[in-house]
Amino acid sequence: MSLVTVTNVDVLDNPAKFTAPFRFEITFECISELAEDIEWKLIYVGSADDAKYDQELDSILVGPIPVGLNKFVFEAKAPDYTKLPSEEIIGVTVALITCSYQGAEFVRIGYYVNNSYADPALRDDPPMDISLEQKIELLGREILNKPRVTRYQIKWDPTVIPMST
Amino acid sequence: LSSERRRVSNTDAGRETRTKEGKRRIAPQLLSSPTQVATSS
Repeated sequence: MSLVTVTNVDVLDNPAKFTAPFRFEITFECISELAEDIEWKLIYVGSADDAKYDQELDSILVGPIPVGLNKFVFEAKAPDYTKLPSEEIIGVTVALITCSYQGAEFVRIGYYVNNSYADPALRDDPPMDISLEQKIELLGREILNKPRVTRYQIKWDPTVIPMST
Repeated sequence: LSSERRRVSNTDAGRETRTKEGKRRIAPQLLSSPTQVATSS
């Protein structure tokens, strides 16, 4: 039984510029005292073909965690576009929120992310002869609803006794 | 420990700090505790 359950994630500031930080309001329930913090990470999949382009955008420890329903806002910087395959910046990719306890990942929430020109007119007629930097400034990012949630069984603190709710 | 954790969390909710290792750390906001859930139902 998981001692921490994610009950809701709201994507904030969506859609946004490609260069804007990601912001998620995460609500989770904790049913027992935890000896350590939980760690959240946001991973941006830079290429569907090669994991070497994955970028860990940010990580944050959350704690101390009181027993009950909690929430916090996870803000993570935008990906470093200079480290992405330029031909794969526009299009659909994936952003993964992961949560771990004592180094063991127990939940993964995957979102599809659509990057395209913010101006619809440019989608049909993309600008030519502009630098990558100029192109990035014209891009918008939309995180699509309905994330895919994967949960993993992990060993929690050996001494904890879940509180009855 | 429980009340201490709850007090610290409520006081510091949303406040971001840095650990000794330089990692970001944030205290969550407690929305409801089991006691509050029990008394409200």
